[in-house]
Amino acid sequence: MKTVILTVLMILISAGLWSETADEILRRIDDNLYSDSQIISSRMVIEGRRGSREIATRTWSHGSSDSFTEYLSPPREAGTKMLKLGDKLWIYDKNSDRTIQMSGHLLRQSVNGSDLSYEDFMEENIYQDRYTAVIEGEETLLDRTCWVLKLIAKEAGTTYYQRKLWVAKDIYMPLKEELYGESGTLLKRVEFSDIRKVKDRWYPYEIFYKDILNTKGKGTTLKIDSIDLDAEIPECVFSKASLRK
Amino acid sequence: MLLKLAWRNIIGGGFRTWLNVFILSVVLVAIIGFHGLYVGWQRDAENAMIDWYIAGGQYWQHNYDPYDMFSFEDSRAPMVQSIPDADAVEFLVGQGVIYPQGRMINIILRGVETQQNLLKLPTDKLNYEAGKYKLMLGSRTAARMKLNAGDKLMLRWRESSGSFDAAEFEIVDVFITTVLSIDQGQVWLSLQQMREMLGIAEQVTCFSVRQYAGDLGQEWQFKTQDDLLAEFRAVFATEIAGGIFMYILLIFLAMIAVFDTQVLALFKRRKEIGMMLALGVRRQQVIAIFTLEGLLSGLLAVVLAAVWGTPLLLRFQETGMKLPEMMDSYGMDGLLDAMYPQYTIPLVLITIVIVMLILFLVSYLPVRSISRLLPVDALRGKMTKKKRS
Repeated sequence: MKTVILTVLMILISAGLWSETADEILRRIDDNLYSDSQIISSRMVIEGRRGSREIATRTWSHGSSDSFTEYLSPPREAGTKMLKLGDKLWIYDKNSDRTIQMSGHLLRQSVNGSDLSYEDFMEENIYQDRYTAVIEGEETLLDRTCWVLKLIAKEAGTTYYQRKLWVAKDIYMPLKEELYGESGTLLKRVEFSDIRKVKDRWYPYEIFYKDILNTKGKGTTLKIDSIDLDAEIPECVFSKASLRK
Repeated sequence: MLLKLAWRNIIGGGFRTWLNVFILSVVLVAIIGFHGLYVGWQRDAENAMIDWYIAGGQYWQHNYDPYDMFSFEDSRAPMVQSIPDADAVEFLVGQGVIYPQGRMINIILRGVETQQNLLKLPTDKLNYEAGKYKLMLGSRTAARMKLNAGDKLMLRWRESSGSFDAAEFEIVDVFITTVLSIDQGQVWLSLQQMREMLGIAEQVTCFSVRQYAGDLGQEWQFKTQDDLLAEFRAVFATEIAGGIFMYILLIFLAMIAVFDTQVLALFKRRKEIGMMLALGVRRQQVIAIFTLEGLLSGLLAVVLAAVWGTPLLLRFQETGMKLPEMMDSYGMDGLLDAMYPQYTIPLVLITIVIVMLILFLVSYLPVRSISRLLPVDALRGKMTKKKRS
C-alpha cells in the first residue's frame, strides 16, 4: 500500500514539477523574445511559384500591442506604412495616399503574398499570458537538446488554439514551432535560426514561416538585419499621424 | 372601295409585292423568335431562383448584406421558433479559405438545413455525421477550381471567438444549377456542421419560407420574391436593351424596303395618280389608297409569318438554342447549356402592332406629297407640286 501511495505521490510531484518547469520555460522564452520596446530592420523574403521577392521594412514596437512598420523597398512598396494599436490595424498606401483600417476578412489576407496573414501581425506575442504549457518530451534539433512543449490557449479567441514548441534547453529559445487549430489540424510551421546574443538575451535573426495548407507556396523568411532592443521610441510614432509623415 | 382598290393594286404588284411581304414576315418571325428567347431566359432564370433558393421569399437578419462580407459576423440571430420546420429552410453565412490544389482562395461558407423539401438544393447529401466533414458546391465553382465529387478539399475558417481552424472536407456533391447566386464563390455545408465549426448554436443568417409568415419583429426583414429578383431583373433589362437594338435594325431594314417601294410607286404611278385626281378622287383618298397598300402588305406578312413561322417557332421552343460552353461563365443567371424561348400572346400582338404602326408611317410619309401634286402635270407624267401658299 505504501509503495502505491509513494508512486502516486511521485507521479503527482513530478507532474507538478513538469508544469512549473513548462511555465518557467515559457517565461524564459518571453524574456528572450519580448522587450518593452524594439526597433528592427528586416527583410521579408517571399518564395513563390514564380521566384522570390524581397521586401525591406523597419519596425518600431512598444510592448506587445503597439507597432509601426515602414516599407523601405522595393520602390513599389516603399512608403507603405502599417500601424497596429492594440487590436486595430491601419495601412497607409502611399500610391493612393489613403489610410485603410483592416478588419474582418481583410485581416485573413496574406501580407504581400507571404505566408503571414495580417492576423499573425495582430497577435500578442507574450506566450505566458495566452497559453498554458506542458512538456511533452525531449528531442534533438539542430544539434541542440530541446524540450517539446505543448501549448493550449487559455481563452477562446486566441488566433491559434494549440502550439507545439521545440525549445533549445541551453538558451531557452524556440527552434521550431507548429501552430494548430482546435481540431488539431496543423496550420503553420515556424523555424527560428541564426540565433545571436543581443545584449543579455538570445534572438533569432532568421525566422521561416510556412503556411502548411498553402502547398503551392514555398514559405517566407524574415531576415533581421539589425535590432535595437529596449530602444527609446517617442510615443508620437504610434499615432495615425505618423502614417502620412 | 378604297380598300378594294388598294388590294387590287398590291396583288397586281406581283413579285415585288410578295418579296416585300416575305421580308416583312421574316422580320416578324425573327423579332418574335429573339424576344421569345429573352422572355424564356427570364422565366427560366426566375423560376430556377425561386425553386433553388428564394421559395416564397426570405427573412434576413436585419444586418445581413450579401455583398458586404463584413456584415456576416454581425448578422446572426436565433431562428424563429414559430415557423414550422417544413415551411422554412435556414441558412448560416460565413467566410473561409479553401486550398484547391494548394492555391489559397477566399470563399463564402453557407450552412443549410439538410432536412428540407422546400428547395431543389440537394441538401440531403450533406446529412450530418459526427466527425465527417462534408461540403458540396456548384458546377461552375467546381469547374473553375478543377474539383469533382469525391475529392478532398482543405478548408480553413475562423471561429466566432476568433481562433483559426481547418479540416479536410469531402466533396459529396457537385450540383448543376442555372442560379449563379448559389454557385459562384461559395461552398455549402450542413447547418449543424457549420454551427459546430463556428462555435455558435441555434443561429441563422437568413431563411427561405414557403410563404410570408407575418412580421417577425425588427430582428428579421422580409424580402419578397420581387425584392430578391429585382437585381436580376435590373441586369436583365440591360441585356434586353441590347436586344432592342437588334430589333430596331431588323425593322429598319424591312421598312427601308417598304419606303423604297412606296417612293418608286409614287414615281411610276404618277399618271395613275393624275387620272384619279382628274376623275374627282380627293387627294386624301389617293393618299389613303397608297397607305392602305403598305398596311395590306403588312397584314399579308402577318399571315405569311403565321404560316411558315408558327411551326418553326414551336420547334425552336421545343429544341431550344444550344449555348456554347463559354456562355456558362457569362455571369448571368438562367444560362447553362441551352435557352428555351417562350412566346406569349401579348408578345406576338405587341410585335405585330409595332410593326404595323411603323409600316403605316413609312407607307404614309412618302405619299404625303400627293396632296401638293398638280393633276394636269401628273397626267403628263410630271411631278410638279403646288407651291405652298
